[in-house]
Amino acid sequence: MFNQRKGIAIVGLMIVVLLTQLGCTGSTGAAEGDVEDAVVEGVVEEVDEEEQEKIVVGTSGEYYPWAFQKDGVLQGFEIDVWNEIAKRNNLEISFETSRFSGLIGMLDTGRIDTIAHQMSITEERKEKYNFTEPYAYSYYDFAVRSDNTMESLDDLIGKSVGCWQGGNGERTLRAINDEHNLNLDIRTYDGVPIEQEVELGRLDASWQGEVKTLATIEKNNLDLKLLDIKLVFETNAYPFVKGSEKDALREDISKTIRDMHQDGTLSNFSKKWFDLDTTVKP
Amino acid sequence: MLKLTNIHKSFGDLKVLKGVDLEIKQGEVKAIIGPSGTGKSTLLRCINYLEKPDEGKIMIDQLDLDAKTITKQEIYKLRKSTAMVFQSFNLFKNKTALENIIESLVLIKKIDKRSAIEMGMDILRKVGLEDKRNVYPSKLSGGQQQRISIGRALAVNPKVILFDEPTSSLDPELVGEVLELIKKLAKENMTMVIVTHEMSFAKDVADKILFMDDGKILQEGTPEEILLSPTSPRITKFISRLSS
Amino acid sequence: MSFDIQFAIRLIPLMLQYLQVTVILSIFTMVIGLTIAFVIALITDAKIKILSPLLKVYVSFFRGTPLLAQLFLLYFGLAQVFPVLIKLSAFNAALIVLSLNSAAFMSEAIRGAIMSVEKGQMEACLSIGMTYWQSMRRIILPQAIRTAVPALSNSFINIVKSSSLAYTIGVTEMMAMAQMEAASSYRYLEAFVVIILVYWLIISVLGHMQNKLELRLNEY
Repeated sequence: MFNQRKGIAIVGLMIVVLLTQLGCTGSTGAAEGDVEDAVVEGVVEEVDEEEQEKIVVGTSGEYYPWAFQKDGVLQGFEIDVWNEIAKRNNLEISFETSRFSGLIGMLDTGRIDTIAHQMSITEERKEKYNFTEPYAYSYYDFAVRSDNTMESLDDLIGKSVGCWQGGNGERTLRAINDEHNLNLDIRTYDGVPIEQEVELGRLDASWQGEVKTLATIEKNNLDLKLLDIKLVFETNAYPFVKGSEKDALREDISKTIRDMHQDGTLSNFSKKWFDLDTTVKP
Repeated sequence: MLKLTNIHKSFGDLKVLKGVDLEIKQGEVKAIIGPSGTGKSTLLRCINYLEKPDEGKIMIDQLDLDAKTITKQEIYKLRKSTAMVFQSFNLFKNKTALENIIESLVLIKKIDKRSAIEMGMDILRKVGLEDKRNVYPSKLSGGQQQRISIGRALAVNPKVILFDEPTSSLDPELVGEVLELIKKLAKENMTMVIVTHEMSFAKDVADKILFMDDGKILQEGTPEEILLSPTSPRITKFISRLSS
Repeated sequence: MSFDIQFAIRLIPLMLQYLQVTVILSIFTMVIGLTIAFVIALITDAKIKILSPLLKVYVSFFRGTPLLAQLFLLYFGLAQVFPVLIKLSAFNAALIVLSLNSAAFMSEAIRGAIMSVEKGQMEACLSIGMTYWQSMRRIILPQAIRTAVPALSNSFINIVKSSSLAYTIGVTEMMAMAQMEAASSYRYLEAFVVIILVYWLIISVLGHMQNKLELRLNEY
């Protein structure tokens, strides 16, 4: 009843296909996202006469408008910045997308070289990573429904506030909570529309980068407002694991970022995606 | 031809066989009777090592097997010289009637498929079921299944066939066809050991009847001897209960 | 906010583009997992020394811990101890963990199916001189497979659904696509309606194939 030879042939075939697969899936070209595309890219690159150094940038693809995927295309502020950095330094760039919480692990294990996800410089992170020249500066702020009467920090006492899990937002929110005795109900999310949670009334407030919140409110016509309680100011830069192979590129990349600050490239990208300039230190 | 010496078998603390001796000559038919739970089936299953005796010797043909030293290879050899017919038939459910019979021919005897099928058809004719060659066991009556199972045993071409209560799980109206087949084999001088409850059948078909009780053979004799001059009150009691 | 049907339709070709990742991952997982499951079931059933208690621990581990934790343990945790694992792509890491995990479940289904085959079948095999492995291959397993098909189909369905967890370590498959498109457009309703329909469709096709397979196996 079951044809053995046929079975063996099928299993054999699958193993062959699998091995081919193993050889090819180095880093998937996330911008195109297609396995086949990545394979084709790989072939083209081998033909290239000039050897380009490779860099793999991790991002989440669900962080509008910094890095997001729309109609199957990865785009956003971070993507523009990195494509420009790659161009100016003759790097062969590829993007890996993952949940934000997975990105740090991928960075630590060397699967990606750096993270483009509005990551901020913190003392803790500086122990493990070297950061490039900052490329953006952002305030954190609370967002609440427009009809909400909250005004000051004290109004938040005992309220539920959502933030990104494992990010600088979570760290700072917990610090504020302790410092001001707010007794907040802190809820952490990863890849969840926190703004919508506030609009739907499941959260009293959100706590994330001001620029991100503003862009999302505007794009989706959300009925939210910022409380203008700017307790935290963060400096965004790209982390490289200390002593890692690609850490050597960091100086060149920092120089490029300085150039891009000066020649207005960064400001232009920022205006394109955020309608404001988040790349100058306030 | 088949000789058992001092077979012992326990399941845990329960001693089931307490030193059984048994000898069967070529062409002889022996029936084993006795109350339930006295080790009849266990004895039979020890003969082809479905149960491994704790102690004792089995001699069959050139083989001389001691339970203490027996190897896997010797067990396979023993099983090529014996075949078993089970109470619940145990036909291979995923094989047709014919496939059940030729399985041992192709797999064990390495006979090529075409000759195996010819031999299998001969056997099917012998058990009177050649029209059922492509039928799966689930579509056969109990009696037909047991006849195929006897056919499967015949295909092994064994020195001796062991029957473990071959009619006990059959509806009364199906018992006859199976007993007829066994009688037919007896006439052809097939060597057989039959554990049975059918006294009248045992009387008809067996050269000797063995009465087993409590893990031992209490009496061995011709059917007449057992029925007319039992040596133990236990036998008298057993027989009178059967005939009442 | 109303249902944007055009947006939903636009998602479908994108979904299908990433469907291949889901399908390839699921099929490879099933083939590798099933192979391992058979080996485990046979070794456990034959009560082979040393190996079979070890495999009991294996099964208990993979059944008793969350798939996501296993995935992170291999991809992030063990990679810190064994640098060689860093070379492992996210796809292959997901494939390995899904295979090992599903093998644990399927081996139990197969073992149960083997045990459900009447004892008399094995005795009949042995009585005509077949070896243990011959009996398994020719008589016991073919019968066991029939019993195991519904459970194995369930396992396959679970594999298809859990393959979406691969997104958490960076494999862009259907679920990841839906998530990202939803996040960038804020159209969660459309994205998840479409993806749920696609999963439902795949599983329905599988269910249909299962029925056909069962009919074929039920000839005896």
